[in-house]
Amino acid sequence: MRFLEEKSEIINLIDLGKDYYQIVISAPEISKLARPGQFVNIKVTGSLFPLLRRPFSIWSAKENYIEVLCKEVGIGTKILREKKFGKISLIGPLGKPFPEPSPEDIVVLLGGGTGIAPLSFYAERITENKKIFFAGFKHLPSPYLLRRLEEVCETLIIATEDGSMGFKGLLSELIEKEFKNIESEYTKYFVCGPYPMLKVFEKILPEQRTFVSLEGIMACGFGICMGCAVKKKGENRYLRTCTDGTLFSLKDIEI
Amino acid sequence: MKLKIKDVEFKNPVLTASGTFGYGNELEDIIPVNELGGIVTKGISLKPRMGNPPPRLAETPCGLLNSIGLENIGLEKFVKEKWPEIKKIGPEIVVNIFGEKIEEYVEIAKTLEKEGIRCIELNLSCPNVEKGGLEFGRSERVVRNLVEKVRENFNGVIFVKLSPNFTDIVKISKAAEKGGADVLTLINTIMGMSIDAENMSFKIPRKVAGLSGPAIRPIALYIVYRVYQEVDIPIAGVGGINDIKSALEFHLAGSTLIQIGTALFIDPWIPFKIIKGIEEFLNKKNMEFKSIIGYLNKKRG
Repeated sequence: MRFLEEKSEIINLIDLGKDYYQIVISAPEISKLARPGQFVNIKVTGSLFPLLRRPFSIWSAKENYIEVLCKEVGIGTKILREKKFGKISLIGPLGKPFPEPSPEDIVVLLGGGTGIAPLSFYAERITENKKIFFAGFKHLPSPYLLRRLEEVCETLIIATEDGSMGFKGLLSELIEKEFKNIESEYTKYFVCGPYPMLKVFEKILPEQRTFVSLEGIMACGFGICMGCAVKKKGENRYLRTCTDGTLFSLKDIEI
Repeated sequence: MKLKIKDVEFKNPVLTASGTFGYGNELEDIIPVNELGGIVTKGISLKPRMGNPPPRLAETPCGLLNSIGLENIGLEKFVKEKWPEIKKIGPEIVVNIFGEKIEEYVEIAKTLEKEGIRCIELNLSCPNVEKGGLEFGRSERVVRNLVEKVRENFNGVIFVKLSPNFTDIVKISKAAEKGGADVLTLINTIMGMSIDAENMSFKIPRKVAGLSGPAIRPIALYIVYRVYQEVDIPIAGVGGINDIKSALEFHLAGSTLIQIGTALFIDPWIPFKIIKGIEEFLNKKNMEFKSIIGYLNKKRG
Protein backbone atom coordinates (compact mmCIF):
# COMPACT_ATOMS: atom_id res chain seq x y z
CA MET A 1 0.00 0.00 0.00
CA ARG A 2 1.31 3.38 -0.96
CA PHE A 3 -0.75 6.54 -0.89
CA LEU A 4 -0.28 10.23 -0.34
CA GLU A 5 -2.15 13.44 0.16
CA GLU A 6 -2.32 16.08 -2.54
CA LYS A 7 -3.68 19.52 -1.83
CA SER A 8 -5.22 20.12 -5.15
CA GLU A 9 -7.59 22.00 -7.36
CA ILE A 10 -10.62 21.09 -9.36
CA ILE A 11 -9.62 22.14 -12.85
CA ASN A 12 -12.88 21.29 -14.58
CA LEU A 13 -16.39 20.32 -13.63
CA ILE A 14 -18.71 18.96 -16.30
CA ASP A 15 -22.40 18.69 -15.61
CA LEU A 16 -23.68 15.39 -16.97
CA GLY A 17 -27.38 15.96 -16.39
CA LYS A 18 -29.67 14.85 -13.59
CA ASP A 19 -27.51 14.25 -10.52
CA TYR A 20 -24.34 13.31 -12.38
CA TYR A 21 -21.21 15.36 -12.85
CA GLN A 22 -17.58 14.80 -13.60
CA ILE A 23 -14.67 16.53 -11.91
CA VAL A 24 -11.17 16.79 -13.21
CA ILE A 25 -8.60 17.22 -10.46
CA SER A 26 -5.01 18.27 -10.78
CA ALA A 27 -3.10 15.52 -8.95
CA PRO A 28 0.23 14.73 -10.62
CA GLU A 29 1.51 12.28 -7.98
CA ILE A 30 -1.71 10.33 -7.45
CA SER A 31 -2.30 10.24 -11.20
CA LYS A 32 1.08 8.57 -11.72
CA LEU A 33 0.32 5.84 -9.16
CA ALA A 34 -3.37 5.28 -9.94
CA ARG A 35 -4.48 1.92 -11.34
CA PRO A 36 -7.98 0.81 -12.34
CA GLY A 37 -10.11 -0.12 -9.35
CA GLN A 38 -8.46 2.34 -7.01
CA PHE A 39 -10.13 5.31 -5.41
CA VAL A 40 -9.42 8.68 -3.88
CA ASN A 41 -10.80 10.07 -0.64
CA ILE A 42 -11.70 13.72 -1.02
CA LYS A 43 -12.12 16.39 1.66
CA VAL A 44 -14.57 18.75 0.02
CA THR A 45 -14.08 21.68 2.41
CA GLY A 46 -11.33 22.89 4.70
CA SER A 47 -13.82 23.08 7.57
CA LEU A 48 -15.24 20.56 10.04
CA PHE A 49 -18.42 20.09 8.06
CA PRO A 50 -18.70 17.67 6.51
CA LEU A 51 -16.12 16.08 8.76
CA LEU A 52 -15.06 13.05 6.75
CA ARG A 53 -13.59 12.62 3.32
CA ARG A 54 -15.74 11.22 0.54
CA PRO A 55 -14.50 8.19 -1.44
CA PHE A 56 -14.71 8.23 -5.26
CA SER A 57 -13.52 5.67 -7.79
CA ILE A 58 -10.94 6.93 -10.21
CA TRP A 59 -12.56 7.17 -13.64
CA SER A 60 -9.35 7.94 -15.45
CA ALA A 61 -5.81 9.06 -14.72
CA LYS A 62 -3.82 10.89 -17.34
CA GLU A 63 -0.76 13.13 -17.31
CA ASN A 64 -1.19 15.39 -14.30
CA TYR A 65 -4.82 14.86 -13.49
CA ILE A 66 -7.45 12.37 -12.48
CA GLU A 67 -11.11 12.25 -13.39
CA VAL A 68 -13.91 11.28 -11.05
CA LEU A 69 -17.55 10.55 -11.83
CA CYS A 70 -19.86 11.83 -9.10
CA LYS A 71 -23.52 11.63 -8.28
CA GLU A 72 -25.10 14.12 -5.95
CA VAL A 73 -26.41 11.98 -3.11
CA GLY A 74 -25.75 14.01 0.01
CA ILE A 75 -24.12 17.07 1.49
CA GLY A 76 -20.55 16.17 0.46
CA THR A 77 -21.34 15.61 -3.19
CA LYS A 78 -23.59 18.71 -3.20
CA ILE A 79 -20.79 20.93 -1.87
CA LEU A 80 -18.37 19.40 -4.35
CA ARG A 81 -20.71 20.13 -7.24
CA GLU A 82 -21.29 23.72 -6.17
CA LYS A 83 -17.61 24.24 -5.55
CA LYS A 84 -16.77 24.16 -9.22
CA PHE A 85 -13.23 25.43 -9.37
CA GLY A 86 -11.65 25.37 -5.98
CA LYS A 87 -9.25 23.78 -3.56
CA ILE A 88 -9.73 20.29 -2.22
CA SER A 89 -7.51 17.76 -0.52
CA LEU A 90 -7.36 14.23 -1.76
CA ILE A 91 -5.74 11.07 -0.45
CA GLY A 92 -4.96 8.27 -2.83
CA PRO A 93 -4.68 6.08 -4.66
CA LEU A 94 -6.45 3.78 -2.20
CA GLY A 95 -7.62 0.17 -2.49
CA LYS A 96 -6.12 -2.65 -4.51
CA PRO A 97 -5.98 -2.34 -8.29
CA PHE A 98 -8.13 -4.73 -10.33
CA PRO A 99 -6.07 -7.77 -11.46
CA GLU A 100 -4.68 -7.98 -14.97
CA PRO A 101 -6.81 -10.33 -17.09
CA SER A 102 -5.35 -13.47 -18.70
CA PRO A 103 -4.95 -13.24 -22.47
CA GLU A 104 -7.84 -15.61 -23.16
CA ASP A 105 -10.30 -13.82 -20.83
CA ILE A 106 -13.43 -12.26 -22.23
CA VAL A 107 -14.02 -9.28 -19.98
CA VAL A 108 -17.66 -8.45 -19.31
CA LEU A 109 -18.14 -5.19 -17.44
CA LEU A 110 -21.44 -4.61 -15.67
CA GLY A 111 -21.84 -1.09 -14.32
CA GLY A 112 -24.82 0.62 -12.79
CA GLY A 113 -24.85 4.42 -12.34
CA THR A 114 -21.52 5.76 -11.07
CA GLY A 115 -20.42 2.12 -10.89
CA ILE A 116 -19.40 2.49 -14.54
CA ALA A 117 -16.42 4.67 -13.54
CA PRO A 118 -13.90 2.09 -12.23
CA LEU A 119 -14.97 -0.37 -14.94
CA SER A 120 -14.41 2.24 -17.63
CA PHE A 121 -10.90 2.93 -16.25
CA TYR A 122 -10.26 -0.83 -16.30
CA ALA A 123 -11.49 -1.13 -19.90
CA GLU A 124 -9.31 1.82 -20.88
CA ARG A 125 -6.17 0.08 -19.63
CA ILE A 126 -6.98 -3.39 -21.01
CA THR A 127 -6.01 -3.47 -24.63
CA GLU A 128 -5.58 -7.15 -25.53
CA ASN A 129 -8.86 -8.70 -24.42
CA LYS A 130 -12.33 -8.84 -25.86
CA LYS A 131 -14.48 -6.47 -23.79
CA ILE A 132 -18.23 -6.11 -23.53
CA PHE A 133 -19.60 -3.23 -21.48
CA PHE A 134 -23.14 -3.30 -20.12
CA ALA A 135 -24.13 -0.01 -18.52
CA GLY A 136 -27.37 0.66 -16.69
CA PHE A 137 -28.91 4.04 -15.92
CA LYS A 138 -32.21 5.35 -14.57
CA HIS A 139 -32.57 7.92 -17.35
CA LEU A 140 -30.98 8.79 -20.65
CA PRO A 141 -27.23 9.22 -20.01
CA SER A 142 -25.47 12.28 -21.35
CA PRO A 143 -23.92 11.99 -24.83
CA TYR A 144 -20.53 12.78 -23.29
CA LEU A 145 -20.81 9.86 -20.88
CA LEU A 146 -21.78 7.52 -23.73
CA ARG A 147 -18.92 8.69 -25.88
CA ARG A 148 -16.49 8.06 -23.04
CA LEU A 149 -17.75 4.50 -22.69
CA GLU A 150 -17.65 3.89 -26.45
CA GLU A 151 -14.03 5.02 -26.49
CA VAL A 152 -12.91 2.28 -24.12
CA CYS A 153 -15.00 -0.63 -25.34
CA GLU A 154 -15.85 -2.09 -28.74
CA THR A 155 -19.24 -3.37 -27.56
CA LEU A 156 -21.42 -1.13 -25.42
CA ILE A 157 -24.92 -2.16 -24.44
CA ILE A 158 -27.18 0.22 -22.54
CA ALA A 159 -30.17 -0.35 -20.31
CA THR A 160 -32.32 2.51 -19.02
CA GLU A 161 -35.08 2.16 -16.47
CA ASP A 162 -37.29 4.69 -18.26
CA GLY A 163 -36.61 3.13 -21.64
CA SER A 164 -35.14 6.32 -23.10
CA MET A 165 -32.27 4.33 -24.57
CA GLY A 166 -31.44 0.68 -25.25
CA PHE A 167 -33.08 -2.03 -23.18
CA LYS A 168 -35.99 -0.79 -21.09
CA GLY A 169 -35.55 -1.99 -17.53
CA LEU A 170 -32.91 -2.82 -14.98
CA LEU A 171 -29.42 -3.87 -16.01
CA SER A 172 -29.91 -7.06 -14.04
CA GLU A 173 -33.02 -7.88 -16.12
CA LEU A 174 -31.04 -7.33 -19.30
CA ILE A 175 -28.28 -9.66 -18.08
CA GLU A 176 -30.77 -12.37 -17.09
CA LYS A 177 -31.94 -12.22 -20.69
CA GLU A 178 -28.51 -12.02 -22.33
CA PHE A 179 -26.62 -14.34 -20.00
CA LYS A 180 -26.51 -17.38 -22.28
CA ASN A 181 -25.11 -15.24 -25.12
CA ILE A 182 -22.17 -13.90 -23.13
CA GLU A 183 -21.38 -16.81 -20.86
CA SER A 184 -18.40 -19.05 -21.64
CA GLU A 185 -15.68 -20.65 -19.59
CA TYR A 186 -13.45 -17.70 -20.49
CA THR A 187 -15.92 -14.99 -19.49
CA LYS A 188 -15.00 -12.94 -16.44
CA TYR A 189 -17.59 -10.61 -14.97
CA PHE A 190 -16.65 -7.34 -13.28
CA VAL A 191 -19.55 -5.73 -11.49
CA CYS A 192 -19.94 -2.33 -9.84
CA GLY A 193 -23.14 -0.59 -8.92
CA PRO A 194 -25.93 -0.20 -6.40
CA TYR A 195 -26.53 -2.83 -3.75
CA PRO A 196 -29.86 -4.22 -5.12
CA MET A 197 -28.16 -4.79 -8.48
CA LEU A 198 -25.33 -6.71 -6.82
CA LYS A 199 -27.86 -8.88 -4.99
CA VAL A 200 -29.40 -9.96 -8.29
CA PHE A 201 -26.04 -10.60 -9.96
CA GLU A 202 -25.02 -12.69 -6.97
CA LYS A 203 -27.77 -15.11 -7.92
CA ILE A 204 -27.29 -15.26 -11.69
CA LEU A 205 -23.54 -15.01 -12.32
CA PRO A 206 -20.98 -17.80 -11.77
CA GLU A 207 -19.26 -17.03 -8.45
CA GLN A 208 -15.86 -18.37 -9.53
CA ARG A 209 -15.60 -15.90 -12.40
CA THR A 210 -17.46 -12.90 -10.99
CA PHE A 211 -15.71 -10.01 -9.28
CA VAL A 212 -17.61 -7.32 -7.47
CA SER A 213 -16.29 -3.86 -6.67
CA LEU A 214 -17.99 -2.68 -3.50
CA GLU A 215 -18.82 0.71 -2.12
CA GLY A 216 -18.73 0.87 1.66
CA ILE A 217 -19.43 3.53 4.24
CA MET A 218 -15.90 4.27 5.34
CA ALA A 219 -14.22 6.87 7.51
CA CYS A 220 -10.59 6.50 6.48
CA GLY A 221 -10.20 4.48 3.28
CA PHE A 222 -6.83 3.05 4.33
CA GLY A 223 -7.56 0.28 6.78
CA ILE A 224 -7.63 1.74 10.27
CA CYS A 225 -11.25 2.62 11.06
CA MET A 226 -12.76 -0.87 10.47
CA GLY A 227 -15.94 0.80 9.30
CA CYS A 228 -16.29 -0.70 5.81
CA ALA A 229 -16.78 -4.29 6.93
CA VAL A 230 -17.79 -6.96 4.44
CA LYS A 231 -18.59 -10.49 5.57
CA LYS A 232 -16.22 -13.26 4.45
CA LYS A 233 -18.20 -16.14 3.06
CA GLY A 234 -18.12 -19.23 5.27
CA GLU A 235 -16.08 -17.60 8.01
CA ASN A 236 -16.91 -15.66 11.15
CA ARG A 237 -15.00 -12.59 10.21
CA TYR A 238 -15.21 -9.40 8.23
CA LEU A 239 -12.92 -8.10 5.53
CA ARG A 240 -12.37 -4.41 4.83
CA THR A 241 -13.70 -2.96 1.61
CA CYS A 242 -10.97 -0.32 1.50
CA THR A 243 -7.80 -2.40 1.85
CA ASP A 244 -8.93 -5.96 1.08
CA GLY A 245 -10.93 -4.68 -1.92
CA THR A 246 -12.65 -2.84 -3.32
CA LEU A 247 -12.80 -5.80 -5.72
CA PHE A 248 -13.84 -9.16 -4.28
CA SER A 249 -14.47 -12.50 -5.88
CA LEU A 250 -18.11 -13.40 -5.43
CA LYS A 251 -16.98 -16.70 -3.93
CA ASP A 252 -15.27 -14.89 -1.04
CA ILE A 253 -17.92 -12.52 0.29
CA GLU A 254 -21.52 -12.24 1.38
CA ILE A 255 -23.26 -9.33 -0.27
CA MET B 1 8.64 17.22 25.35
CA LYS B 2 9.81 13.88 26.75
CA LEU B 3 7.60 12.53 29.51
CA LYS B 4 8.18 9.82 32.03
CA ILE B 5 5.34 7.92 33.63
CA LYS B 6 6.67 5.39 36.13
CA ASP B 7 9.68 4.07 34.27
CA VAL B 8 8.18 4.41 30.80
CA GLU B 9 9.35 7.27 28.65
CA PHE B 10 7.13 8.84 25.99
CA LYS B 11 9.17 10.84 23.52
CA ASN B 12 6.35 13.36 23.17
CA PRO B 13 2.79 13.69 24.48
CA VAL B 14 0.98 12.74 21.27
CA LEU B 15 -0.51 9.24 21.10
CA THR B 16 -3.00 7.65 18.75
CA ALA B 17 -6.31 6.69 20.36
CA SER B 18 -7.56 3.14 20.62
CA GLY B 19 -9.69 1.96 17.73
CA THR B 20 -8.49 4.65 15.38
CA PHE B 21 -5.08 3.32 14.42
CA GLY B 22 -5.64 -0.41 13.96
CA TYR B 23 -3.09 -2.57 15.76
CA GLY B 24 -0.39 0.01 15.14
CA ASN B 25 1.63 -1.03 12.10
CA GLU B 26 -0.96 -0.65 9.34
CA LEU B 27 0.43 2.71 8.21
CA GLU B 28 4.09 1.89 8.76
CA ASP B 29 4.95 2.55 5.10
CA ILE B 30 2.97 5.78 4.91
CA ILE B 31 3.72 7.84 8.01
CA PRO B 32 6.78 8.05 10.32
CA VAL B 33 5.14 6.01 13.12
CA ASN B 34 8.36 5.97 15.16
CA GLU B 35 7.98 9.73 15.71
CA LEU B 36 4.72 9.28 17.60
CA GLY B 37 4.72 9.66 21.38
CA GLY B 38 2.89 6.36 21.56
CA ILE B 39 0.33 4.11 19.97
CA VAL B 40 -2.74 2.80 21.72
CA THR B 41 -3.84 -0.39 19.97
CA LYS B 42 -7.32 -1.54 19.11
CA GLY B 43 -9.08 -3.07 22.08
CA ILE B 44 -8.00 -6.67 22.71
CA SER B 45 -10.28 -9.23 24.34
CA LEU B 46 -9.59 -12.71 25.64
CA LYS B 47 -11.36 -14.35 22.69
CA PRO B 48 -11.54 -12.98 19.13
CA ARG B 49 -14.56 -10.80 18.35
CA MET B 50 -16.11 -10.53 14.94
CA GLY B 51 -17.56 -7.06 15.45
CA ASN B 52 -20.91 -5.73 14.34
CA PRO B 53 -22.52 -6.09 10.93
CA PRO B 54 -22.34 -3.05 8.63
CA PRO B 55 -23.24 -0.24 8.39
CA ARG B 56 -20.97 0.53 11.31
CA LEU B 57 -20.57 4.25 10.81
CA ALA B 58 -22.70 7.35 10.48
CA GLU B 59 -21.39 10.86 10.08
CA THR B 60 -23.02 13.58 12.19
CA PRO B 61 -22.39 17.34 12.32
CA CYS B 62 -18.66 17.62 13.08
CA GLY B 63 -18.74 14.11 14.48
CA LEU B 64 -18.73 10.41 13.74
CA LEU B 65 -20.87 7.67 15.24
CA ASN B 66 -19.32 4.23 15.27
CA SER B 67 -20.52 0.80 16.16
CA ILE B 68 -17.55 -1.35 15.17
CA GLY B 69 -18.38 -3.74 17.98
CA LEU B 70 -14.81 -4.07 19.30
CA GLU B 71 -13.76 -6.33 16.44
CA ASN B 72 -10.37 -7.83 17.23
CA ILE B 73 -8.28 -10.94 16.73
CA GLY B 74 -8.21 -11.92 20.42
CA LEU B 75 -5.37 -12.12 22.95
CA GLU B 76 -3.67 -15.26 21.70
CA LYS B 77 -3.34 -14.14 18.10
CA PHE B 78 -2.42 -10.62 19.19
CA VAL B 79 0.47 -11.91 21.29
CA LYS B 80 1.64 -14.40 18.66
CA GLU B 81 1.21 -12.42 15.46
CA LYS B 82 0.81 -8.70 16.12
CA TRP B 83 2.99 -7.98 19.14
CA PRO B 84 6.26 -9.19 17.54
CA GLU B 85 5.56 -6.80 14.64
CA ILE B 86 4.40 -3.73 16.53
CA LYS B 87 7.01 -3.82 19.26
CA LYS B 88 9.61 -3.20 16.56
CA ILE B 89 8.12 0.00 15.17
CA GLY B 90 9.47 2.35 17.81
CA PRO B 91 7.07 4.36 19.90
CA GLU B 92 5.70 3.16 23.22
CA ILE B 93 2.82 0.73 22.66
CA VAL B 94 -0.18 0.88 24.96
CA VAL B 95 -2.34 -2.22 24.57
CA ASN B 96 -6.00 -1.40 25.07
CA ILE B 97 -7.92 -4.25 26.68
CA PHE B 98 -11.50 -5.03 27.61
CA GLY B 99 -13.55 -7.91 28.94
CA GLU B 100 -16.95 -8.98 30.08
CA LYS B 101 -15.78 -10.01 33.57
CA ILE B 102 -13.13 -8.61 35.91
CA GLU B 103 -11.24 -11.91 35.65
CA GLU B 104 -10.90 -11.43 31.90
CA TYR B 105 -9.17 -8.06 32.35
CA VAL B 106 -6.87 -9.70 34.90
CA GLU B 107 -6.04 -12.64 32.67
CA ILE B 108 -5.25 -10.42 29.69
CA ALA B 109 -3.11 -8.10 31.84
CA LYS B 110 -1.17 -11.07 33.25
CA THR B 111 -0.46 -12.46 29.79
CA LEU B 112 0.60 -9.07 28.45
CA GLU B 113 2.98 -8.52 31.35
CA LYS B 114 4.57 -11.91 30.65
CA GLU B 115 5.12 -10.80 27.04
CA GLY B 116 6.98 -7.72 28.20
CA ILE B 117 4.25 -5.20 27.45
CA ARG B 118 4.81 -2.12 29.60
CA CYS B 119 1.59 -0.16 29.14
CA ILE B 120 -2.05 -1.19 29.07
CA GLU B 121 -5.25 0.79 28.81
CA LEU B 122 -8.43 -0.56 30.40
CA ASN B 123 -11.56 0.21 28.42
CA LEU B 124 -14.24 0.37 31.09
CA SER B 125 -17.11 1.28 28.75
CA CYS B 126 -17.95 -2.39 28.22
CA PRO B 127 -20.91 -4.32 29.54
CA ASN B 128 -20.22 -6.23 32.74
CA VAL B 129 -22.04 -9.53 32.23
CA GLU B 130 -21.97 -10.29 35.93
CA LYS B 131 -23.84 -7.06 36.67
CA GLY B 132 -26.61 -7.45 34.12
CA GLY B 133 -24.66 -5.85 31.32
CA LEU B 134 -24.15 -2.46 32.98
CA GLU B 135 -20.91 -0.80 31.98
CA PHE B 136 -17.99 -1.40 34.36
CA GLY B 137 -17.35 2.33 34.32
CA ARG B 138 -20.72 3.15 35.88
CA SER B 139 -19.91 2.08 39.42
CA GLU B 140 -17.17 3.54 41.63
CA ARG B 141 -16.97 0.30 43.59
CA VAL B 142 -16.63 -1.87 40.48
CA VAL B 143 -14.06 0.44 38.90
CA ARG B 144 -11.92 0.50 42.04
CA ASN B 145 -12.17 -3.25 42.44
CA LEU B 146 -11.35 -3.91 38.78
CA VAL B 147 -8.35 -1.57 38.73
CA GLU B 148 -7.05 -3.01 42.01
CA LYS B 149 -7.25 -6.56 40.66
CA VAL B 150 -5.42 -5.61 37.47
CA ARG B 151 -2.87 -3.63 39.51
CA GLU B 152 -2.04 -6.73 41.55
CA ASN B 153 -1.14 -8.50 38.33
CA PHE B 154 0.47 -5.82 36.20
CA ASN B 155 3.50 -3.77 37.17
CA GLY B 156 3.66 -1.48 34.17
CA VAL B 157 1.69 1.67 33.40
CA ILE B 158 -2.09 1.29 33.64
CA PHE B 159 -4.23 3.75 31.72
CA VAL B 160 -7.92 3.70 32.63
CA LYS B 161 -10.22 4.97 29.88
CA LEU B 162 -13.57 6.36 30.97
CA SER B 163 -16.66 7.66 29.29
CA PRO B 164 -19.01 10.27 30.70
CA ASN B 165 -22.16 8.27 29.94
CA PHE B 166 -24.59 8.15 32.88
CA THR B 167 -22.23 8.87 35.76
CA ASP B 168 -20.20 11.54 37.50
CA ILE B 169 -16.91 10.94 35.81
CA VAL B 170 -15.01 12.80 38.55
CA LYS B 171 -16.08 10.21 41.14
CA ILE B 172 -15.28 7.35 38.78
CA SER B 173 -11.88 8.89 38.03
CA LYS B 174 -11.10 9.10 41.74
CA ALA B 175 -12.12 5.46 42.16
CA ALA B 176 -9.74 4.46 39.36
CA GLU B 177 -6.95 6.47 40.99
CA LYS B 178 -7.57 4.79 44.33
CA GLY B 179 -7.52 1.42 42.61
CA GLY B 180 -4.01 2.11 41.37
CA ALA B 181 -4.38 3.62 37.89
CA ASP B 182 -1.35 5.49 36.58
CA VAL B 183 -3.07 7.54 33.87
CA LEU B 184 -6.70 8.45 33.21
CA THR B 185 -7.73 8.50 29.56
CA LEU B 186 -10.55 11.01 29.24
CA ILE B 187 -12.86 10.54 27.41
CA ASN B 188 -14.16 7.53 25.53
CA THR B 189 -16.94 8.10 22.98
CA ILE B 190 -20.31 9.40 24.11
CA MET B 191 -23.39 7.35 23.32
CA GLY B 192 -25.42 8.73 20.47
CA MET B 193 -27.87 7.91 17.73
CA SER B 194 -28.64 8.84 14.15
CA ILE B 195 -31.87 8.32 12.25
CA ASP B 196 -32.56 8.34 8.52
CA ALA B 197 -35.88 10.18 8.51
CA GLU B 198 -36.56 9.67 4.79
CA ASN B 199 -36.32 5.89 5.12
CA MET B 200 -37.69 5.91 8.68
CA SER B 201 -34.86 3.73 9.96
CA PHE B 202 -31.80 3.87 12.20
CA LYS B 203 -28.59 4.69 10.37
CA ILE B 204 -26.74 2.08 12.45
CA PRO B 205 -28.61 -1.21 12.97
CA ARG B 206 -27.59 -1.39 16.64
CA LYS B 207 -29.25 2.03 17.08
CA VAL B 208 -26.84 3.25 19.77
CA ALA B 209 -23.28 4.08 18.78
CA GLY B 210 -20.27 5.97 20.11
CA LEU B 211 -19.88 9.60 19.12
CA SER B 212 -16.40 10.98 18.49
CA GLY B 213 -14.80 13.89 16.69
CA PRO B 214 -14.83 17.67 17.24
CA ALA B 215 -18.52 17.47 18.18
CA ILE B 216 -17.54 16.08 21.60
CA ARG B 217 -14.47 18.26 22.15
CA PRO B 218 -16.03 20.84 24.54
CA ILE B 219 -17.40 18.01 26.69
CA ALA B 220 -14.07 16.19 26.78
CA LEU B 221 -12.22 19.40 27.55
CA TYR B 222 -14.54 20.23 30.47
CA ILE B 223 -14.15 16.72 31.88
CA VAL B 224 -10.35 16.93 31.69
CA TYR B 225 -10.56 20.33 33.42
CA ARG B 226 -12.77 19.00 36.25
CA VAL B 227 -10.93 15.73 36.81
CA TYR B 228 -7.52 17.47 36.83
CA GLN B 229 -8.62 19.41 39.90
CA GLU B 230 -9.50 16.27 41.80
CA VAL B 231 -6.82 13.70 40.98
CA ASP B 232 -3.05 13.54 41.20
CA ILE B 233 -2.31 11.10 38.39
CA PRO B 234 -1.72 12.35 34.83
CA ILE B 235 -4.54 12.62 32.31
CA ALA B 236 -4.44 11.57 28.65
CA GLY B 237 -6.97 13.91 27.05
CA VAL B 238 -8.91 12.64 24.05
CA GLY B 239 -12.01 13.79 22.22
CA GLY B 240 -12.09 15.79 19.03
CA ILE B 241 -8.46 16.87 18.91
CA ASN B 242 -7.82 17.57 15.27
CA ASP B 243 -5.27 20.37 15.08
CA ILE B 244 -2.53 22.16 17.01
CA LYS B 245 -4.89 24.55 18.76
CA SER B 246 -7.23 21.85 20.00
CA ALA B 247 -4.24 19.83 21.25
CA LEU B 248 -3.02 22.86 23.21
CA GLU B 249 -6.51 23.39 24.66
CA PHE B 250 -6.29 19.96 26.28
CA HIS B 251 -2.84 20.58 27.73
CA LEU B 252 -3.90 23.94 29.14
CA ALA B 253 -6.94 22.31 30.75
CA GLY B 254 -4.82 19.64 32.43
CA SER B 255 -3.84 16.86 29.99
CA THR B 256 -0.32 15.55 30.27
CA LEU B 257 -0.71 13.26 27.27
CA ILE B 258 -3.15 13.62 24.41
CA GLN B 259 -4.64 11.03 22.08
CA ILE B 260 -5.67 11.66 18.50
CA GLY B 261 -8.57 9.57 17.24
CA THR B 262 -11.11 10.39 14.57
CA ALA B 263 -8.85 13.08 13.07
CA LEU B 264 -6.51 10.30 11.88
CA PHE B 265 -9.20 9.11 9.47
CA ILE B 266 -9.17 12.47 7.73
CA ASP B 267 -5.46 13.20 8.01
CA PRO B 268 -3.13 10.40 9.15
CA TRP B 269 -0.25 12.92 9.18
CA ILE B 270 -1.96 15.14 11.77
CA PRO B 271 -0.07 13.82 14.86
CA PHE B 272 3.22 15.03 13.40
CA LYS B 273 1.82 18.46 12.59
CA ILE B 274 0.57 18.65 16.19
CA ILE B 275 3.93 17.55 17.67
CA LYS B 276 5.73 20.20 15.63
CA GLY B 277 3.05 22.78 16.41
CA ILE B 278 3.32 22.28 20.16
CA GLU B 279 7.11 22.67 19.95
CA GLU B 280 6.75 25.90 17.99
CA PHE B 281 4.16 27.18 20.47
CA LEU B 282 6.52 26.50 23.37
CA ASN B 283 9.38 28.26 21.61
CA LYS B 284 7.19 31.25 20.82
CA LYS B 285 5.97 31.51 24.42
CA ASN B 286 9.39 30.61 25.76
CA MET B 287 7.86 27.99 28.02
CA GLU B 288 8.66 24.45 29.07
CA PHE B 289 6.20 21.75 28.07
CA LYS B 290 5.47 20.86 31.70
CA SER B 291 4.43 24.40 32.49
CA ILE B 292 1.55 24.39 30.00
CA ILE B 293 -0.04 21.28 31.54
CA GLY B 294 -3.01 22.58 33.52
CA TYR B 295 -1.91 26.19 32.94
CA LEU B 296 -5.54 27.35 33.07
CA ASN B 297 -6.46 25.09 35.95
CA LYS B 298 -5.69 24.57 39.61
CA LYS B 299 -5.40 21.44 41.68
CA ARG B 300 -7.79 21.48 44.58
CA GLY B 301 -6.38 21.44 48.15
